[in-house]
Amino acid sequence: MSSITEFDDEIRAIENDIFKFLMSYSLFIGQKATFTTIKIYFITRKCLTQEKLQELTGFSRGTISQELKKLISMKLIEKTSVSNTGEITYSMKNPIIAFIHSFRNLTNDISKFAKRINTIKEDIEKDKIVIENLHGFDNVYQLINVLANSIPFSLELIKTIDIELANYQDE
Amino acid sequence: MQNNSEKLKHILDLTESITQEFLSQNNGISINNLKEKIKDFLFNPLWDIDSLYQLKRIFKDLDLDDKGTNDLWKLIEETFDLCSARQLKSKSHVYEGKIRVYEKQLIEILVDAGKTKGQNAVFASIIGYLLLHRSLTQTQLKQLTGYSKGAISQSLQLLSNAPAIKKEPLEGQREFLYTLGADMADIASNIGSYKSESNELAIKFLKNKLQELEINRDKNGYEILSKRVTKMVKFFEYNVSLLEKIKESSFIKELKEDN
Repeated sequence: MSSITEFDDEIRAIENDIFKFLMSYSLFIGQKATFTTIKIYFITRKCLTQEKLQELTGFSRGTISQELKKLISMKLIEKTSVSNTGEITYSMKNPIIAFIHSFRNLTNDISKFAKRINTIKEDIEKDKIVIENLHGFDNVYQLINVLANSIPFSLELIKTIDIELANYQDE
Repeated sequence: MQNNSEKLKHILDLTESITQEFLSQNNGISINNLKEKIKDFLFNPLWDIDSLYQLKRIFKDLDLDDKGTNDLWKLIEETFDLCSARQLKSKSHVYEGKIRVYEKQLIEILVDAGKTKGQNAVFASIIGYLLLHRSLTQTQLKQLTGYSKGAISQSLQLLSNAPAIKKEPLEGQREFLYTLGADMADIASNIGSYKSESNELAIKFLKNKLQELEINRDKNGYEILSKRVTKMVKFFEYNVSLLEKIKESSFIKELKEDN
C-alpha cells in the first residue's frame, strides 16, 4: 500500500515556508544541506519514496539513496512498504524524532568541548607559578575557569532534557 | 586674610627674593633658565602632587654625599622605567609569551563551538577576543585574528546590530572601539544551550502556519501536514515547560550562584 499524498499548490506553499524555517532552525544548522533537506521533507510528509524525493528536491538518485541510508542508520526513518514494482516507501513515524536526534548530537559536541576545555585548564594550572605575572594571564585564567565551570551546568542540563525527551518519545 | 591685590604683591615680592638668591648663587647663568623652571613649577600640574614634596623632604633628610646621591638617582631611574614598562604592557592588546598560546587555544574552541551553531569562524573569533579583552579596535582585531580588514568589518557590522555590542568613536582617530556588553558567564552558559526563546519562536511560527492550513481544509495534503505541524507545536510547547522546570531546579540555581 502506498500512502504518498500529493500536495495541492496552496498546501505546497505553506510547506515551503515551514521548510525554510526548519532549514535555519538552530539545532539543524551545521549538518549537510542535502541531509537536512531530505530530513525536513520526512518531517512534513511522513512517507516518501526515492522518486518523490527526487521530484521534491531535485537531487540525484545517488545522493538521495546515500542520505536515506544515513537516516535509516540513525533510526530517523524506516522502510514501511514495498510496492509491486519494487518501489520502497520510507517513513518517519513522528516528526519529533528528528528534533530529539539533533539534540543528542549537541550533547556529543559539548562532551567533546568539555575534554578540550579541561585539558587547557590543567595545562594552565600546571604553568600557573611561571606565567601568572605575564600580561593577559588574569583574563585568560578567568575565561578558562568560566568555561570549565559551565561544563557541569551544560551537561546536567542536557542530561535532564535527554531523560525527559526519552519519556516524551515513548508516550 | 589677604585680598587678591595683596596676594599679587606678595607673589611679586617672593619672586624678587627668589631671583636675588638665584643670582647670588649662580654666577653667569642665564636668568631665562630660572624663568623657565619657575614657570613650569607654577603652571605644570605635575608639581601639585604632594608626594613630590615628601620625596624632596626625605631626600634632604638623608643628607647624602655626591656618590650617595648618584646611587640613589640610579635606583629612582630604574623605578621610573619599571613603572612605565608595566603601564605600556597593561595597555597592550597582545598577551605575553605562553599566555598568547593559551589565548589562541581558547579562541579555537570558541570557533569550533560556534561552527556547530552555524556561526562563521571570523564572527566567532571576534566574539572570543572581545570576551577576553572586553574592548578592541578593528585594527587590533585584525592583528589578533589574522583575518583581513574586509572580513572583520563585515562581521563587525553584523555584531553591531546585536544589543550586546557597543560601538564608540575613538577620540582624535578614525577608528571605533568595540565593546562586548555581556560578561563571560553569560556567554559560557550559552554554549550549546537549549534556548527557550527559539522554542517560543517556533511555536509562534508553526501556529501561524496551522491557521493558514485551516483555510485550505479541502486541499490535498492538508490532513497530513496539519497533523505533522500539530505534533511539532506540542513538542516545542513541551520543551518550553521543561526548560522552566529545569531553571527552577536546585542544581542549576546553585551553579549560577557559584559562577
